[in-house]
Amino acid sequence: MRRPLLPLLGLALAWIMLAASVIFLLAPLVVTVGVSLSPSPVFQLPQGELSWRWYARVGRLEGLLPAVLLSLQVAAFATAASLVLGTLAAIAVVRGQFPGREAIATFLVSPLMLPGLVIGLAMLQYFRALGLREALPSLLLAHVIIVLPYVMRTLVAGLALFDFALIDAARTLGLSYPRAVLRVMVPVLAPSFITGGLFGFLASFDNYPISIFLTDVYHRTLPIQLLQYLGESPDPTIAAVSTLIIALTLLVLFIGDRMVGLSRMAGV
Amino acid sequence: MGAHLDIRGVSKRFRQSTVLDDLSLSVGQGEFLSLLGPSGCGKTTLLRILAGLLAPDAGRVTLAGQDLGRLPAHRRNVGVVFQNYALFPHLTVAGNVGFGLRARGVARAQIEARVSELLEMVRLAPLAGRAITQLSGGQQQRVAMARALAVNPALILLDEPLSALDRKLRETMQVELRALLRQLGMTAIFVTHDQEEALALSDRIAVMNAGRIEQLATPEDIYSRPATPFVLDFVGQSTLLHGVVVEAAEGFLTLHTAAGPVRAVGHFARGARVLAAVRPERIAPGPASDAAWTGITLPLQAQTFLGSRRLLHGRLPAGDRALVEVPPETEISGDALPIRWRVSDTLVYPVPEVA
Repeated sequence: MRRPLLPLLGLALAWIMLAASVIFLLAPLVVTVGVSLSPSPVFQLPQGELSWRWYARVGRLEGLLPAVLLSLQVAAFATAASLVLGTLAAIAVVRGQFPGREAIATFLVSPLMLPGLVIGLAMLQYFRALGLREALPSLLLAHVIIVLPYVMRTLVAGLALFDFALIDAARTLGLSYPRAVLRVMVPVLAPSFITGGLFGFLASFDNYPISIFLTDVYHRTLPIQLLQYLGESPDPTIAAVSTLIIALTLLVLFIGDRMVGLSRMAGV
Repeated sequence: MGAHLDIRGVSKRFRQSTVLDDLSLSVGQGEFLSLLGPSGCGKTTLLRILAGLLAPDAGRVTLAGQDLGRLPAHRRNVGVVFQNYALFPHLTVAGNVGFGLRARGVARAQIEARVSELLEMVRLAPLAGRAITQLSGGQQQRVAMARALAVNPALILLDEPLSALDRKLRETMQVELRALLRQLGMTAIFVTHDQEEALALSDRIAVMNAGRIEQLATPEDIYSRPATPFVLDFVGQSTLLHGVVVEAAEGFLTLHTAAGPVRAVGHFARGARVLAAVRPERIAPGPASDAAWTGITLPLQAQTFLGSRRLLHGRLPAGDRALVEVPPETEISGDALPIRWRVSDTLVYPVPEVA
């Protein structure tokens, strides 16, 4: 029997689209890695031999290490704070009986849907109005807003499937309520915590549009510092830094895959 | 001998509705007592109060001489088998069974010994290392039992533990569960809405309705001498005939019903409105031959063949119904069948004036 032509064409088209999307998504990363390994002092893909010279210069970039440390600190603090606040908020939303629960859940996830610029500008004005002019606390607070939606989203989904009878069971077996939460709910929901935490951490780590409003000369997060390098002295050192960040991200995703499974991380 | 578990005047309200209404109940050491009732009768609420997962508004509970008072769930020595088992999905079978012992800080070697002893008891020893999700429903039920029993509780509460299983497995598990608890001499409270299960397992049954105990008695008494029309209706089937007392003398009654005169034992005034009931297996085909028997002629509507028996349904006015159980090989022909039962088998209940 001959297969009809049209579905075959459709299938071929779908495969082409898929391949094109993958290429489109991966090409910039490949180019960045390539440029970082090129000996040429301008942005150019390596022709022939490779060189590590730009990586050697990474360590000598002025202000890079403080920027990396600041970004890591901010992301770590925001993730930790969001995991605690997000868990409590998610429990209230899933278990509570008060009116407006859905609205609150949507509101807490809404920063994901708002342009970062709007949030950044709003934060700046709000903090100024409150008299908060320090860069660091402003950044920390703002980044909690960045991370919280990721944590909320995965935890609400995780808690909706969580059987709270497990906590009752742990209590009748001899654990106080707080210990039951710690020994049963936390391990059972570990995938949600890890997923929400990782994505939130990455979102904070590479946030530009919100941070730009809240940083000062002494407190520059990594993305802002990178963009400044690009303006001042555009050489492939930036590509080397970017490649290191890509490697770090791959490592994080690998750990996440080992602990939770990539499909579960992407699915929630 | 004092009661092992003593419940005195326990009440619980949720918002406007009274879920438990001044309920009292005593359970002896080693007794298997069922709380039987429809959903919403308060049986699960009572169970949660006993487990310490819910605080009563009033009343007191004593277990083995100790006032449980406001003692939180984790300080009571009360095991619970939950309806959906509530097994910990992140732990293995052995991890689940040993959970209570670890929570109590028992030494590792002792935990291991006790866990294997219990897994042996519920015949799951080869599955000790399995994940919970790899178990069948019946195996999960046994893990839940073993987990609750591991800490050697003074009382075990079972919240419809067999309702998730299919019928055949449920019957096997009933026998197993009863034998296990009897072997351990465990005092058990079993919550169920399944009257057959309650009749099959219990030493005593408390039939609950609207936050109260309607009747507390042995399965035999609950079935053959239901104290109220609610118990009669909830447990088993019966022929129901509404009627009026036309004659009352020396403890014998004659009732006028739509199906004809019916005789019964009891004390009611003449003219009282009553409900007469007879269990299906008490009725036999044939005319009432002497004074010990009473009977009616039943217009037949339908019959259902149930394998081991045959049920005959009579055609009666609305509100009344007739059910007769006969051996399966009985040939029934014709539109009407004379039936009879012993006068002492007629159950009579007063009918409230305004219905």
